[in-house]
Amino acid sequence: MHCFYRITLLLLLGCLSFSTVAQPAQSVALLGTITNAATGKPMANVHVFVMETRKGVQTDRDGFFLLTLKPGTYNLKVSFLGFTSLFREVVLRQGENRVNFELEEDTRLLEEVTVTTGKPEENVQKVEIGASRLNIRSIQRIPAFMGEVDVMRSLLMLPGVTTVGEGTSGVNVRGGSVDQNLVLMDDAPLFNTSHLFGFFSVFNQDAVRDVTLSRGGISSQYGGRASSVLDVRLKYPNSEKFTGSGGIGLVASRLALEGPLVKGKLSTLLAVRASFNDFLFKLGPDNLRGTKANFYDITNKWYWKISERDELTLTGYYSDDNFKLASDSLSTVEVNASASLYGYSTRSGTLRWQHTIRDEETLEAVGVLSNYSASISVPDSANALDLRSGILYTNARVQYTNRSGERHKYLAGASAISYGIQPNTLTPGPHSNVLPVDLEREHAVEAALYVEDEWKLSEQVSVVAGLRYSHFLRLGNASVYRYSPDLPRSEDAVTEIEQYAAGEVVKSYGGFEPRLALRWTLNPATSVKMGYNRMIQYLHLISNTTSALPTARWATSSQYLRPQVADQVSVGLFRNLNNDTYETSAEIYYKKLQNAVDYKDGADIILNPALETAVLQGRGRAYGLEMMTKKNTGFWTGWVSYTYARTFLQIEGEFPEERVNRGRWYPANYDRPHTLNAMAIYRPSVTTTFSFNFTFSSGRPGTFPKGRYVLYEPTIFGANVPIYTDRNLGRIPNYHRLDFSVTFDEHPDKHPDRRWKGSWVFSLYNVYARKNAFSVFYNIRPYSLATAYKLSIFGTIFPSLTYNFKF
Amino acid sequence: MTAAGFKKLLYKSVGWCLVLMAGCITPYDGDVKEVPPGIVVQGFISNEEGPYTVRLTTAANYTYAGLNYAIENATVYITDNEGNRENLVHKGLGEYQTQTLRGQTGRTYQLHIEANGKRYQSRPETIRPVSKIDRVYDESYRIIDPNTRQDILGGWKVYIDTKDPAESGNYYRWSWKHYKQAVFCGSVNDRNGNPLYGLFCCNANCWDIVRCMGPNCINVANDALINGKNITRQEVAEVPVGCLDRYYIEIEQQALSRDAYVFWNTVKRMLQNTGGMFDVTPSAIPGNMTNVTNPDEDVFGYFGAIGVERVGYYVDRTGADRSECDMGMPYPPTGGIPPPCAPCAESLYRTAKRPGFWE
Repeated sequence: MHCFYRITLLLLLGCLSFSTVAQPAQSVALLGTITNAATGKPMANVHVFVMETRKGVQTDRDGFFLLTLKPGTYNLKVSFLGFTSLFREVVLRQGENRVNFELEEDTRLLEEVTVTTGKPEENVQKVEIGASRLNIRSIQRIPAFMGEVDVMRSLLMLPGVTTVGEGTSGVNVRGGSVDQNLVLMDDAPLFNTSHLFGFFSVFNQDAVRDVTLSRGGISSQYGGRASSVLDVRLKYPNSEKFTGSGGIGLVASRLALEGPLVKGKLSTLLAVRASFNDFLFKLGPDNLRGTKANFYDITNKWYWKISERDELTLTGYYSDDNFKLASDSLSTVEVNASASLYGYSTRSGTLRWQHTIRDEETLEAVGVLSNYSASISVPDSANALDLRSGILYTNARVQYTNRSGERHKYLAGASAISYGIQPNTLTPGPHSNVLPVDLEREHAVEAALYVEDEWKLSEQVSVVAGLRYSHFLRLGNASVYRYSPDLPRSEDAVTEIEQYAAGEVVKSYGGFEPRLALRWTLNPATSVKMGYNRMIQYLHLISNTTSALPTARWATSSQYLRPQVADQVSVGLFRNLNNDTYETSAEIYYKKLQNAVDYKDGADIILNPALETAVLQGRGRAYGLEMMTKKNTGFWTGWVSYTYARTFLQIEGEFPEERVNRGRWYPANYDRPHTLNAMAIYRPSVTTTFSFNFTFSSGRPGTFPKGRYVLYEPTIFGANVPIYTDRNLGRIPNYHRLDFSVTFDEHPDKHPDRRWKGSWVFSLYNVYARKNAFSVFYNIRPYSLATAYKLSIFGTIFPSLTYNFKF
Repeated sequence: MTAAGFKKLLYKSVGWCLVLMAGCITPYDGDVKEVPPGIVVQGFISNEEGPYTVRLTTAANYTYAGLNYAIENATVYITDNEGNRENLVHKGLGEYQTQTLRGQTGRTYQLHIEANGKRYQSRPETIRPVSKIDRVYDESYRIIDPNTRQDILGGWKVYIDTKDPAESGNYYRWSWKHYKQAVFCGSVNDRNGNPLYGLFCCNANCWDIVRCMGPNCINVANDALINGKNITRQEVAEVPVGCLDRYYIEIEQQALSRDAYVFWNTVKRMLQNTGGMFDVTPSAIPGNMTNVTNPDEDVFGYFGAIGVERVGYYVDRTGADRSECDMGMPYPPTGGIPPPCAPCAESLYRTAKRPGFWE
């Protein structure tokens, strides 16, 4: 197996570097004519473009063109508006070379075979550092698990982005925990980005336009999270004509409709996705037959062009997940409930008004409401209960942007956020013995002012300097526990409970968050960039499980839970090669984290009224190197990235119970030193696209037993209890996987008059069926000689077939 | 349901379900060969009659071959808050036993050990008063036969009702034992060790003891959610389908300290750990023993002080619509010389002592 992936990797790398073969110096001529395939007449003004040299010419009146090139192999692109572009490989030898091409009329616009939306030169010229943008087309090219195009999973192909394991919710960016990423969908933050506990992401591919991940040099417009910003932008509805798209897949099916209500003025987009996968459980073993796992999401966006200078957009999003575990499946784990239901939903709305004062001078106002709620219920009468948690987020923001200046482009804004958190509410059923619990609601506000200036110091040097001031207030009603200073914080150390009235300030925090990015252009194809940013995070996700449950608690900062503060410095070298055919970059970063969160051994989080007795805070540091090479044009496109990244934490409390690993530095749960990602797309014709995706990463840390002892207690007589001492000092095996997908699109000329265009996507996830470890655990069982076991989540090959359509 | 039960439901069911959906568990070669230093202490004192046993061993490495060696010739004694002290007698194999000591509810006890030139002691622990078990009752439940898909009798669940004291911070543990009058106390085996026939007990009063065993049988709870109310329908035992008889069980309710509760709950979680996505990261099991001479040295295990309440109960299986009566070993052949009888040897699985509530 090792051999297999090495060969695959070599092939992928080989393909990407295919066209950089050395060439002899002598130039030769390439002569050619272009004719219309239907009429046979020569065509004038057709663009003939050489991919490798990025040089192009136009044909004359007789459809004739002439190019001088060095001998070698070239990819030509022949294009003319309204005709299907031709891609041809041409081998030039010494002497005269002749080619003739026929162009066929196109009824649709053929998309470019590129990986980025941005222009390749942006890699070098933009001031931003540590930002990656993916458009939905490139995300769709990545082979998908069970055929579900997944925005979050596609991010894992970027350098600096990792996860604790497959099927888990959220990503870790540059040594940050899952909750340190601000995920915005049209300005509305999402508190859970996955369906079915982490198997699929909540974004509907029919509604998403592009996603931008900023992991360094983050703009001062964004704040509130310590590690990164993932900005997901939805499409603007088509304001000219009605169109639709959708797909039928193994797990979920989708339908999206968009079009104008008043042409050019008012238009809307409605995208719906729902899963119909109960039949998959019926195929499974007996104990899974009663299981139900369903989700759906609805995305709706309205666009109203009030006048030439004013536009209004309204985005609504609703997502719902339901998971029912049947009694039979529970009896295998001896849970005394006949069934349990898990549900969680996200509801968000964004209203955005943009007024253009003058050209490149705009004023925008945004209002956001986002609500996330999760519940678990057990219907059994004696133990009937319903556990709810939720978070309500309200945000108002105004921003003035002026990009008209030659040397200064600046923006300024103000934002106010209100948080309402329902940590856990346990409601018993009518005949239940369970006591109701209602943990106190948390109320808090976060306000921020920000300015930013993109200042062109000279032709070579540009700076984006930003400053954000954020202020956080934790408000009453609140009862705050006071602890004896001589004891570790625990429920028996409470000395008094202090009450705060509604609206009273319980605790406030605030601070300046400077942001800086600098670009120094060495030559048109090379630049050096630097970035520094400080981010302050007041809202935390509190979860001590390997992967956060959708029902995990969110908590705002308090006396005891201090805000997390991250300072990051990064430096990068960016260089484009072969006339922008290749983009390369190398970045190094160092990050310092204050008040990093970890947990006491075996701490209880759920229904804990005093989180401070479970949470520990300390220092964190992360550093790494990220390298990436990308090929943008040609039949083969794709990228290879390598990341070296380390993340360490140090929890050094006053009492032994409040220290982790005796106060020494230890690797964080998501510390994965080496990551290699390779993505290759081969598009030999208009109808076929092959995609390959390979990923390798070091295993994450694990806590493994140092020894064991046998228990004499009769109930578990002879059981071996593992002895654990220090946290995260072992490592689970390395992870690697190859995926493949092939897309068959209908040939555009087959039915030129038909609006309906269909395509088939066949994908294989985990092609060589490696049983990658999610975790390693130790257990001495009487019937097995092994002491260590490996849990694999997607331990086999997953084929899937999806039919997508457009009309 | 209690908080612990609820958390069990949460972590286990979700984790397992996802594993069942797509995951698989395979052996992994990752033996840990090093042997940790430190000693292991296990024992308890209760309000029931002694003698109480304390076991001292070394820790073993985490492999199949690893062994916990007994620590012999240590000085072991128990003190209480009224200044009493009793030395434990070394019985061999790392076992130390009390002579006359009997635990009393409300008193605080502490264990002291001097071994290998080091001194160890437990945190003082008080025997807490234990609530009365007000009622014991059983209910049959039905299951779907996996082969025939028919609805059949699955067994009986035994529940108790008890009252939680008004103050908070009460911790419980339940366990049960089934006693069955033994017919055979030994067997005659063939060359491969397979029994040919049983040997009758020499004494008519001999009982086989059957226990619920395994981490799932560590049945602990706290009163965080239920403080001061009645604990009703607390499941304490599950009785399988068997012969059409009356099934005798003895139910034990223990009052634990918070430390003991945390210890047993952690042991349970450790032993149940499947490495799943929603399993809490494994951690050290917090014991209550420390090395007085060197506080940095790890000492494992627990010395507890527990209040015990015990009741007997018969589950009536005579009217069941299904039985699976195990015939046991064949009787000795008749004729010839009568085979010898076997003594009723005291062990975890057999006793000659008449069960407290036997009718």
